[in-house]
Amino acid sequence: MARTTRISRAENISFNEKLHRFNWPLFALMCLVLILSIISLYSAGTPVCGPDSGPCEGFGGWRPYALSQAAKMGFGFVLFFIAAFTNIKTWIKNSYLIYFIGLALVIMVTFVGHTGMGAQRWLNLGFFHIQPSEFIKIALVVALARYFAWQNSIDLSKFKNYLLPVAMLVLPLGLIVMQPDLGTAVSLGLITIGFFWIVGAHKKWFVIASILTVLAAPAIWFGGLHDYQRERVITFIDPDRDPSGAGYQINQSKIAFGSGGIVGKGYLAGTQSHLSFLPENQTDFIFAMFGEELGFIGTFVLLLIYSIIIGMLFWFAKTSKNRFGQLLCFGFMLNFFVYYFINIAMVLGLMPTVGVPLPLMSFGGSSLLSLMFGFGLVQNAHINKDQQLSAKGS
Amino acid sequence: MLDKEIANTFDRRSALFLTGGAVLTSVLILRMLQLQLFEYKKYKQLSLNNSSRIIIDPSERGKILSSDGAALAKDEAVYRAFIIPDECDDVSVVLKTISVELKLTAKEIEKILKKIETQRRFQPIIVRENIKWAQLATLKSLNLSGLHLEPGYCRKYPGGGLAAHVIGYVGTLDDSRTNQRVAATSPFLMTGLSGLEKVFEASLSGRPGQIITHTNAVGRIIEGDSENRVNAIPGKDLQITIRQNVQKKMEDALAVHGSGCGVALECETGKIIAMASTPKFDANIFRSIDGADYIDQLRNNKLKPFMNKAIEGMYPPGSTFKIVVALAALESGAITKDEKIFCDGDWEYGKHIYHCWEKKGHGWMNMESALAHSCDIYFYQVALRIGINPIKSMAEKLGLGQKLLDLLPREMIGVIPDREWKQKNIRAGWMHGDTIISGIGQGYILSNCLQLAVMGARAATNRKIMPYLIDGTNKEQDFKKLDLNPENIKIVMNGLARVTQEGGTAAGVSWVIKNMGGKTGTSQVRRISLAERKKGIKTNEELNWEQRNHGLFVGLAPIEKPKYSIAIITEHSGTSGLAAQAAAQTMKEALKNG
Repeated sequence: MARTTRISRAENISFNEKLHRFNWPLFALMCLVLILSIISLYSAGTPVCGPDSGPCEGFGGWRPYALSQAAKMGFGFVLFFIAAFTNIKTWIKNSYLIYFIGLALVIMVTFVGHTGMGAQRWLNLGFFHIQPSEFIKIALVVALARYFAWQNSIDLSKFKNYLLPVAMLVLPLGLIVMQPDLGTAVSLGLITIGFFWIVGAHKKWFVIASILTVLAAPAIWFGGLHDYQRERVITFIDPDRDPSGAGYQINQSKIAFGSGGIVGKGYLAGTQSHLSFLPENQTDFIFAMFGEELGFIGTFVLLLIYSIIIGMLFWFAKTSKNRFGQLLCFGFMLNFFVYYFINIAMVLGLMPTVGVPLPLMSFGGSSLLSLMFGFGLVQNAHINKDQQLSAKGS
Repeated sequence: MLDKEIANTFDRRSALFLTGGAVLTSVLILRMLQLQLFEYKKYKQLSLNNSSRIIIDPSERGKILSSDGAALAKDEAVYRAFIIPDECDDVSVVLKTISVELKLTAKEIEKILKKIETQRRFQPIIVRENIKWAQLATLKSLNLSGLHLEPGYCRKYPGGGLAAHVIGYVGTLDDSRTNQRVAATSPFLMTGLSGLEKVFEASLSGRPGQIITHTNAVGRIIEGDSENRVNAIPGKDLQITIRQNVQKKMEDALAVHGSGCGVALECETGKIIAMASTPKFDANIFRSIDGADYIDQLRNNKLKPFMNKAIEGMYPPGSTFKIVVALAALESGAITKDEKIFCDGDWEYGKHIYHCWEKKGHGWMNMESALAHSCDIYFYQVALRIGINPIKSMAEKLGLGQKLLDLLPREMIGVIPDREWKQKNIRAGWMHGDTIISGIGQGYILSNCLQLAVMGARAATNRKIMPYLIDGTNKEQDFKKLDLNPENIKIVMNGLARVTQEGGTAAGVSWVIKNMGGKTGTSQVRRISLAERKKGIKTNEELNWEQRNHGLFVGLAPIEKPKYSIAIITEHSGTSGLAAQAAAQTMKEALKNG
C-alpha cells in the first residue's frame, strides 16, 4: 500500500499571522500549571541551613527541586516554541523519525539503562538522565496521527491497515513491560486503542481483541515470562508484597491528602509531606502534598485547569479542517488525560502504585520536556487548522 | 476538507470519550471529597496524633556457600549505634559523650556532623555498626536521648575477598539509588550492588519485617506504642559451584603476577570450580571507617580491581587459538597428521614477511610438534590453506565469540572475525594476511578467559559443554555432541600433551604437575613494525607495562582423559610462563580432592 504523501498544499504562513492564530488561552493555562509546579516544588524543597545560615527550621526551599525544575522549564519553552512555530510540514515529514528516535531510546534503556525505583527506566546521557518512556508517549501520538491522517474511510475499514499501528505499539510496549513500567505500558495501550476507536475501527474488532486478550493472558503468564518477570508483575498487582511497603506509601498519601481538608493546612505547612516521609512528594506523589497544603479548593482548581485544557484540546481537534491536526490534537488530549487520571487515581488510592508523574507538575525533566514539546505541536496544528495538508480527498 | 464519513465517525465516536472523561473526572472529584470532606476528621486525627511510621526490621540475608559448604558471604548479627539528630538536645554533646566508649576520632565526629547537615533531622545516622557487648551495656547506661542501639545484620565475607568478583558485595539502599523511599526510613537495609549478591538479590534478601509505630506531629516515635508487627522472613542461601580451596589456590597463584584472571571448570559437566580476577577487593572494608578511602583507591587503580576480568576482560587468545585452527584444519581434511611444513623462522607471503616467535626456526613440523612448539609458520600456512570460514565455525563450535554463562553482568562476547565482520566494523576488505594472523589467534580475534576454558573442555570431550555457576542449574544431560572426528581430537590432545613435556613450550610445569597437557599463548598488544624489527625487537622488559604481551595458558588434566579445563591469563606479563605455572598450581589443587 504505497501511498505518497503530498503535503505541498500547505501554504506558508507568515510569523505574524502565526502569532495571531496562536492560542494564547491554552498557553496561559499551561503556564499556570507550571507556576503551580514551581510553587509546590519549592514547598517540597529543603531550607538552606548549616553553620553559616542558621538552624534547619521550617520547610521549603529552592533546592533541590524548584530551581532545577525552573531551569528545565526554560529549556522546555525553547522546545515548545520550536514545536509551535516550525513549519508543520517539517513535523509531518519527520513524524516517523520522531517515533524511531523514541523507540531507539527505549531500546537503549532496556539494554544499558540505569535502574531507578526498582525498574530500568533511566538512560544516562552524561549530563542528564532521561526517561525514554516519557518521550515515547508523545512520539507514538505523532506517529499514529501521521499514519491515520492519510487514510480514507475505505482504508480505515480494512483490518490490514491496523497492523502497522499495532506494531508501532507493540515494539515499545514489549520492552517497557520488561523494564517493568506498567504505568507507561497502560498509557501507550490506551492511547492506541483510543486512536483505533476514533478513526472508526469496527466495533467487533474491539470485542474480539478483548476476548483474545483474556484468552491469551494465561498462556503469556505461564509460557512467556521468566520467574522474576512474573514476580515483578505480581508486585505490581499486589503492592503489599513489596517489602518496601508500597501499601504504606498509599496510606501515607491518603493521610496527607485527607488531612488537608477543604482549605488545606496552608502553604509550607503540610506536616505529613514534610515530616512523616510522604515518599516521593516531589515526583509521583506531588498531588498528595498539594492536597495537604492547599486542600480541596486547591486540588479542585488544579483538576479544573486540567479539565479545561482537555476541553480546549478537544475543541482544537474538532475545529481542525485537516485530519493530521485533528488526530494529533486528539491523541495528545488522550495522552494528557491518561497521564493525570492515572496519577491522581494512584495518589487517592484508587489504583495500584505505578510510576506515572502528574503532567507539568511533577519534578523531572523527561515528562516535562515531552509534554511541552507536545503542547507546542498542538499549537502548531491549531495555527494550521485551516490548511489543507493532504492532496487526497480524505 | 475532511471527508464526510470520517468527520461523522469522529463526531459520533468522540461522544464516548467526552462521556468517559466526564465520568472518570467525577470519580476523582468524589474521591477527593470523600477524603478531604467526609473523612477529613479521621485523617486529620491520624496526621495530628497518630501518624504511623514503619520501622523496617531487617531480614537475615542468605549465605552464599561454596560447593564444599564454606560460607563465602554471610550475615552476622550485630548491634549498631545510631543517632537521630532531631531527638538529641545537642548532637555534638551526644557524640562527645559516646566518643570515649566507641573510640570515635575527631575526624569521624566531624564527618558525622557534616552528614547531619545534609539530611533531614529525623533521619537516623549510623555511628558504629559493630558494637561489642561490653560497650552496649555502658552505652545503654548513659541513657542519652537521641542515641539508639538496635540489633541488625552486617554482611561479612569470611574469605576476605575470596571470589570477590563472583560474589559481589552489598551496600545500603542509599548507595544503590534504586529505592530511595525505603532508604529514607531504613538506612540499615542492605541490597546487592554487584556480582551474585545483585543477581540473586530477590532470593538472598528475604523479606524484611515491619513494625508500625506511631509518631507525633513532629515525627518523633512514641515509645512503646507499636502494633502490626510483621516478622522478617530470612533470605535463602545460595549454593554455588566454586570450590574454596581451588579458588584460593588460583587467586594466590595469580597474585604472584598481580594482574590477571582465571577460570577452572569440570570438563564433563561445565561446573565452574574457580573463577578469579586479580587484583581483587575485600568488601569487608567498604563499610569500615576507612571504607571510602579504600574504595577510592580501588577505583583509581589502573589494574581495575572492580572488573571481573574472567568474563569482562577481552584478550586476543594468541597461540591458545591454535587448538581451534588445528581442529578446523584436520576436520577439513586440508592437512593430515603427518604432513610436514618447514619453519626457518620467517615466511614470505605476498608482500609481507610473517615471523615465527622462534627466530631460528623450528625446522620440519607436523601437527603434533607444531602444537608442542607452538610453531607460528606452520599455523600461518595451515590457516591460509583452509581460509577463515572453517576457523570461525570451529571457534564458535568450541564456545568462542558468544555469551556462555549469561548470569553475571557485563559478560563479553568477543570477536571471531570473518569477511562480513571486517566489512561492517573496519570497513575494509578481508586480506589473506588477516587469515594468516588469525591462524595464531592474533588480528581481530578477541575472547575472554571463560571462553578459553570452555574451548579446552569442549575440545577434550567432543561435546557442547556449557558452564554453570549456581548449583543445580547444570544441563548435563543436554550437552550435544560436537561430532568432531575422535581421531582428530586425539591428534590435538597428543600435541597438547607434548606442550608440557621436555622441549614443549610449557615444559616447566612438569615440576608441579605431571599429567597436565595444555597450550601456551602470548598475545601481542602492539604491532611490531618492520623498521622496528630491523633495529631489533624490544624485549618486553624494555616496554611500558601496558604494551607488554599478555600471557595465556589453557590446561587440561589428566590429559589422557581430561577432568578439568583451566584457562589463565596474566595481563602484560610478557610471556606465558606465569600463566602456565598458575594453571599447574590450580590443577594440582583441583585434582587433589576431586
